[in-house]
Amino acid sequence: MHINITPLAFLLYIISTSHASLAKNTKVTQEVNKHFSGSSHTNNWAVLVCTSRFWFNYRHVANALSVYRSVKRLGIPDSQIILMLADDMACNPRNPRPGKVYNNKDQAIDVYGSDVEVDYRGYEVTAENFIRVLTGRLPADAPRSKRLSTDDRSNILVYMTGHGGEDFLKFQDAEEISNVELADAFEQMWQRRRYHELLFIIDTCQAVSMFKRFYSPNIMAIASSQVGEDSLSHHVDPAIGVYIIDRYTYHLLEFLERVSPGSKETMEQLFKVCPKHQCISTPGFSTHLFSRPISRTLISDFFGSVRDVDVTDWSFTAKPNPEVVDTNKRTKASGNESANRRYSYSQQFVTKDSTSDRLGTVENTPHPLVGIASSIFLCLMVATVMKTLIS
Amino acid sequence: MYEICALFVGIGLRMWLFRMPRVLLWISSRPEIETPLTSWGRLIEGEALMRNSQSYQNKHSYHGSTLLLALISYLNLNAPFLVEILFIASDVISAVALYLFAQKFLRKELKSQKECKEKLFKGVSSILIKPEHVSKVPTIICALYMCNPFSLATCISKSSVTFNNLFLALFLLSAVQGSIWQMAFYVALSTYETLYPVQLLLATGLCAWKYQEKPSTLKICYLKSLACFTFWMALILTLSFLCEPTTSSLLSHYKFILSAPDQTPNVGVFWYFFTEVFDHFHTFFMCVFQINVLIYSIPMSIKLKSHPVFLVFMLIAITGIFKSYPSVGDASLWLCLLPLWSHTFSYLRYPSVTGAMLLTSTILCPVMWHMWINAHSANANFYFAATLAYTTALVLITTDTAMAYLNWHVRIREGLKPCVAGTSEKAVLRLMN
Repeated sequence: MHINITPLAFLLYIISTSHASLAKNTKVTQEVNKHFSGSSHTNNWAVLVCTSRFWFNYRHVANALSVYRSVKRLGIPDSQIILMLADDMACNPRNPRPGKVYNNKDQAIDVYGSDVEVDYRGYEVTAENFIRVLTGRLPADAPRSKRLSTDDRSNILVYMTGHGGEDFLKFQDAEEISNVELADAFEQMWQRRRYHELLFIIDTCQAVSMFKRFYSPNIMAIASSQVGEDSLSHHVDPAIGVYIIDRYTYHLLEFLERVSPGSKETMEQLFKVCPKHQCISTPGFSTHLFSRPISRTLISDFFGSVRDVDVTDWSFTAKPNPEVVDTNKRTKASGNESANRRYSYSQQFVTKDSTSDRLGTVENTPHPLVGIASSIFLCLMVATVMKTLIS
Repeated sequence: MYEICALFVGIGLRMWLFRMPRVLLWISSRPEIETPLTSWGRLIEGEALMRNSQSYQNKHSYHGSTLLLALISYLNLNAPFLVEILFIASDVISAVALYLFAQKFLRKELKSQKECKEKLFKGVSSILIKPEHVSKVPTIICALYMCNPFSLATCISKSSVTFNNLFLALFLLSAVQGSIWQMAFYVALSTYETLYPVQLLLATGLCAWKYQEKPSTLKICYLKSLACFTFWMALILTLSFLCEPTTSSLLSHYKFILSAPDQTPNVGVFWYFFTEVFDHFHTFFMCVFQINVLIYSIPMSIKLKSHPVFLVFMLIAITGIFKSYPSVGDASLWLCLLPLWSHTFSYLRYPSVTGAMLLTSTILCPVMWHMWINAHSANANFYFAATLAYTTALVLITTDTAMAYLNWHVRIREGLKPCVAGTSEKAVLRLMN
């Protein structure tokens, strides 16, 4: 039997090339996908707010501090975290472990520690300050640690915990912030391009109501309970005597422990954290404003500070600035006029009124008219005095 | 003869004190002597800022006049030893000017007293001006000015009040000579330094009217003095502008005097009040305080129309007490002039009280300052109380002197004893002029 090799060869060739191209196709797909759903942020910020005070709200402070620790561990520096706490736990007279705040009854991790940086503490945690931080409308003398200096390439994680109700969140027993205000604050941020993408996590009772009114693009929201449900606390630490952490945040932390700075966990997995049988409340999510698919959005887009570093071997030489005067040359070249110019001290620094002074400086000698006029005036004065004394 | 001794004693004292660094250090820290407007330390700081090409006027440093800064910086650069000689010479010329002024003034008063002998009541010769006054009082004034602690301290601290006193003394001398150009010149110079002597213009016209050789109407005298003052002021301001050609430097000096932003304690009444006034009322009370300095000039010029030298004395006194940054140097000038009216001293109502008050408050001020600043056992109220006592003493001296002066003028026409109720003597009210 005469087997026709050509079509077989052709088939083999096609299979081999298609295999290769399939492989290449996946790589290409990956490249293409990266451009379409990989995040194009360049820096990460976190705003972690605990809106409660007093000893019996220990768990809210522990929530916020635990998320703070995770976020720091995953790479966001303190300078890019705004931590707002009442900060009355660690040094509370009722704290049997002074200076330490724990999030588990085994007291394994001290989430307070000596390197915590609380930016807004005590009575500074108000709804007004929170909105001012988000929108950037702080007084001119606010220090940098209290500012959210984000730009349009910043991914921000906003985590809020405390006591909430339908459509509002209680701030420090004195005031509340409504979901409309929060949505408007985020819209202001969007209009001033203060975020690239924003992840909003809220662990309070009836938490879903807080993100119901969001209308700005690129916001993803996770809430620990639906409207009409209460978020419950996890367990009591009998040594301290209060509930020490909330359920949703406890499971969130369990999940985050498995995340490392380079890992590829996506938001889809984060949404599976704390289902109803574990949390007793049903978590709610909002992704309709978010432009990327959640299966492609990495955890580290919000919880860490991952940078895509591109290493090249391209180099360039910097040319010396021709205006910089070489001090060695100055002593050598004696005939060089510009090198012999004596600089007055403050002329090296540009000041607002450096042009307004004229009297007797090294470079600006006074106009000779001034000298003549002054001496004429002095002679006149002396003459008048003599005339007065003598006559 | 004695006056030359007094001059040399004064010069010797100043030269000796200039050589004592501990005294200089102590005096430079005294807020009664150094004010933010006049202190030497600030002048040196302004000069240093100027040399480093920075604008000095808007900083918390020198707030005085540009020409003074130019003069002192020129001297410091070229002949530093001349600075002390300048201050001593200024004091010497002031003393000589006061001596000559007192002599001429008392001579003229004696002459006019002799001319009006028939208008005087009989039997008042005990309180009239006598020739001994003409020979003794100028020496006393010269000695007082050279040797009193207030003017010594002002000279040693090298504050610009020395120059202010110089210009005022020369003004007084030219006032009794009746020359409008010179009077306007000195008023312009002292107005340039501190704004308040501008009210002496009111007295310039009156002095010119009284003491001129060729009599002319009051209106012409006023117009002439105003014109001369404007001319000299324009000249001085042009020179100042040439030295520092920015308009802000021209006005910031007066802005500082008028708005008194620096509440460093001094012997005045401004600082304590403006540390505690609400911002809402700040401008209002600043206007009130500034009006308080200037308002007495108008009614006093009307009342003392025929006694222009006494008017000048009163204006200098009131300015020295109520200005925004007074010091003891401002008071030393007119306190030295008190012997001019020694013939009226029998009508002083409470000279011992006011004298004791002045002495006590002068001693208490440094004590309270030490207790407040160094020992931390007192507070600002203690120091303010001491300076308030000092101010009250000066005010009482001023009013008492004015009362005695006016009383004397009544008594020489009405007789030594006022009419006694129940007797046949009648009291006749007559408008005094």
